[in-house]
Order: sequence, then C-alpha cells, then structure tokens
Amino acid sequence: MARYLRLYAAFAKNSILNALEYRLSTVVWSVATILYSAVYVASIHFIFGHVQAIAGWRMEHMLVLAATVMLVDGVVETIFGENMNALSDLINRGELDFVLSKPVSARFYVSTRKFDWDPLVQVLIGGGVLWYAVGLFGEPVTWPGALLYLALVVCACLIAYSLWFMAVSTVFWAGRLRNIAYLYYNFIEVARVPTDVFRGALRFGLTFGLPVAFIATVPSQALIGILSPTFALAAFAMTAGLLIVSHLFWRFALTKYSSASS
Amino acid sequence: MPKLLRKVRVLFLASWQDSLMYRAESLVWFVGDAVLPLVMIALWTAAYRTVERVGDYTVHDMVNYYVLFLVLSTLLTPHPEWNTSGLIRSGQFSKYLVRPFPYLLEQLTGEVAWRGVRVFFLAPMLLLFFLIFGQGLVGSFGLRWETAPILLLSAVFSFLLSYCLKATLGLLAFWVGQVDGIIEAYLVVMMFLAGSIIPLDLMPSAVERATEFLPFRYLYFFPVQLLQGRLDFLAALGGLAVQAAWLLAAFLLMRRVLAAGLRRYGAYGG
Repeated sequence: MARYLRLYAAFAKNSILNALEYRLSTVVWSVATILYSAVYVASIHFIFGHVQAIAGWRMEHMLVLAATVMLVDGVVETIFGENMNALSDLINRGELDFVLSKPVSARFYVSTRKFDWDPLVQVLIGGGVLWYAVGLFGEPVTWPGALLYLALVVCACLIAYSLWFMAVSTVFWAGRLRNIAYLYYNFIEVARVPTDVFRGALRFGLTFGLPVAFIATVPSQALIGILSPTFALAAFAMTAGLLIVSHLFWRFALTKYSSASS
Repeated sequence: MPKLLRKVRVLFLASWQDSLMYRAESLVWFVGDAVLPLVMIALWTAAYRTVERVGDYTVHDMVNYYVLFLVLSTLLTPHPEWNTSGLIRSGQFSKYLVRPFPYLLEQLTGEVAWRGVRVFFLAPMLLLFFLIFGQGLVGSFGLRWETAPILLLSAVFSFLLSYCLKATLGLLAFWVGQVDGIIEAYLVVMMFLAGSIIPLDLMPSAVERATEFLPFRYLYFFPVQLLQGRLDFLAALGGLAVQAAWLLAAFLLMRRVLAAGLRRYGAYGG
C-alpha cells in the first residue's frame, strides 16, 4: 500500500511538471471549463424563468444537482480522464506489453498514470455553485445530510470510474473503436438532469441498469434532505458491486489480449 | 470544371467507404449528438406536467423543436477543425499541399460523406420518436410551401457556414500549439447560442437580441423556425440574406487565415 502511495505521488509530480510546460494550454482549458459551467448555470436560470418546479425539483435543487455533476466529473476527469482516453490506444496498438511487464498492478497503472490538472478548475467551480445553491435553501443543511452527501459523491466518482473503465476495456474485443472513451461524456450528460424526469422502465434502467441516478441525483437528494435510506444503502452496494465487477471484467478481458509485438 | 468534378467524386467515394468501414465509431459520435436533445425532451416533458405553455411553445412544439434540432445538427455539422489542427501540428499538412486539389475542398468532400452515414442512425430514431409521440410531433411541423426553397438554401448555407468557421478554428494551429481547448470553448458557446440547450426565443430578451448579431443562430435555430412555420416569407427571406452575408464573411476569413498560415508554415517547414 505504501509503495502504491509513493508511486502515485511520483505520477502526480511528473504530471505537474508536464502541466507547467504547457501553461497556456491549462489557461485555455480553464476558460473553456468556466464557459461550460456558465452556460449550464445560465440555462437552469432561463428554464426556471418559465416554470416553478420540474418533477418536484426547484431551481436551487437543480443548482445543487449541477454542482454535484461538476464535482464528480471534475474529480473523475482529474484522476482518471487522460488515462481512460489513452487506454484504448494502449490496447489497440499492443503497447499494453510495457505495462503488463511492470512489477505493479496493471489496472492501477493504466488508471492513474497521468494526473490531469486541468479539470480541477471544475471542482472549484462546482464548490462555488454548491455554496450559492445551498444559500438559496429556506433552511440550513444538517450535518448528517452534508456528511452523507460527501460520502455519496465519493461513491459517485467510483461508480463513474468503474463504468468508464469497463467501457474502454471492451476494446480488447472490439478492436479499433477509438472514441469508445467518449461515451463517458454522454453518460455524464444524462446525469445533468434529475432521474425523476424519466418515467417507468427508463427511470428504473437509469437507476439499476446504467446507474446514472447515483452520479448526481441521489447525492443531491441527500443534501436536500429527501433521500430515502434505502437509496443511500443502494448507492453503497452499487459502488462496491461495480468495483468488484469491473475488476473481474478487466481480469477476464486481459485474457483476450493479443499483444502486437510477439 | 468536369475534371474537378471527377476529382471530387473520387474523393467523396473514398471518404464514403471510410465512413462505412468505421460505422461503429460513427455510431458513438451519433449517440453523442443525440444525448443532449433527448435529455432536454425528458426534462421539458416533466416540466409540462405543471404548465400548459412555455412562451410560444406547447409540449408538442417543444419535443418537435429538439427532434428537428437533432436532425439538423447531425446532418449539417461538419467537423474539419480536429483533423485540420492535427495535420498542422504533426506536419502532415505538407502532404496535402502538394495534392492537385485544394485541401479545404478535399476536407469538405469528406465531411459530406461522413454526414451521409448518419442518416442510417437517424432514420430509425425518427421512427421511434413518431411511435412514442405520434400525431403531436407531426402537428408542430409547419413548413410553408413558400418558404420551402428558402429552407433548402439555408440548410446548404448552414453546412458551409459551420464548415468555414470551424476550419478557420482548426487553422489557428499554425500559430497556437494547443488549439484543442480553443476549439472546445468555441463549441460550447456556439452550441448554446445556436439554441441547442433551450430555444433562443425562450432566453431573456436581452440575450436573444444579442444572438441576432452573431452567426450562430443561423446554423440551426433559423432553419428549425422555418420547419416549424414560425416565419413568414419576408422574415424568412431576410434571415436567409443575413445568413448568406455571414457565410461570405466566414469564407473570406477562412481564405485569409489559410493564406497567412501557409506563409508562416512555409517559413518553418523543412
């Protein structure tokens, strides 16, 4: 464990040095992120200029949801983003050989090698939006609610990572599918509205099939104070389940790997 | 001229085969186009459970708006920016300069082919929509016969306008090393001001007026308005004229940027 922490510190340091070399790029990406967040928050204001509530969600609730997506997406992209985008090429070109021959867990290496400093801006903006949204609440947020929220945000990050990792791992079979990692951004796009707006089978599917609901809707409900204990437990179970499933999936996928060099 | 047409035909067929070969990738891109409109439809239909109308839109108009937006943005959005900036950065751009047809024309032909494949994904989706929403969806479709020719022209102009703006952005790679962030920032603002998230006429009036001084509303919002029959003949003609003016300006800008970039490129190339 201590070895992995040391290794991770080395990865992060290496990534900082890399980021310092491309300062302009960091500035440009930050501007893009700020614009994106501004557009998102403005859209929510525009929509709620016409309606009072959507499926029980008022504007301040929707802003909490927006902030939650920013936090989760920001953390996931910072830690895993660049790695997931690189993974399909790694598999496809047979460059995974270099990873498999290293004395370290291959999953750890391919998931965390590059730490991307650029999306961290989104975490800061998310924090700001959250502060602003909670200020609009009629009554203050309770301590248990806030702690549960934080725990569920961590769960959401792990769920999003596990799904992303599994999606990219399909390249072992699919061969050339370079944009498969891009599906993650669509998944996050669906998380930007409360799952309550969907009905029937679709809502069930987005909760337990492709668990979009746990990314932002469930954590936001915890902070608002309308989350049922069942769903909080379901979120923890889903996280544990997906971490295990994605690991088994990766182990199985590795057996399908045909290196390019030999 | 027939010689050029023959070249275009060959280029088109090559790209067409490419796009059919990589149809799985194409499907992933299509899903990317479709997600936002679908999510917005879900959000608005939930909102309409408590209100009758939002601005000038009934629930059917709203669903219709996003479906039409999806169709237009899928078919009329070329993506020359990534390829162009990539080629310039890697130096492979030189290869295209010595070919017997202009790079920008070759790229344009390829983009048309790639759009074509999207029809295969779009058609079943439209059918599904019709099955879910039925008559309501079709009822909001109100293209008038006198504005139909204007719609056709505006669709062509929209594709070309998009192409010129985005190709110009890609050409910035001659000057800036990391142009990806700039492209991303542009796409975010462009799609928002084009009406992808909410119809422009539902934005606060100051914002809506501001979009009248930008080219983006003419990419999709203007044709969607024509398709919904919200503009009379004179308004449609006026819109088309402004769109054409933007297209001309964007085309001249693209040419200038390419010429300036090539001067710079030549100075460094080996």
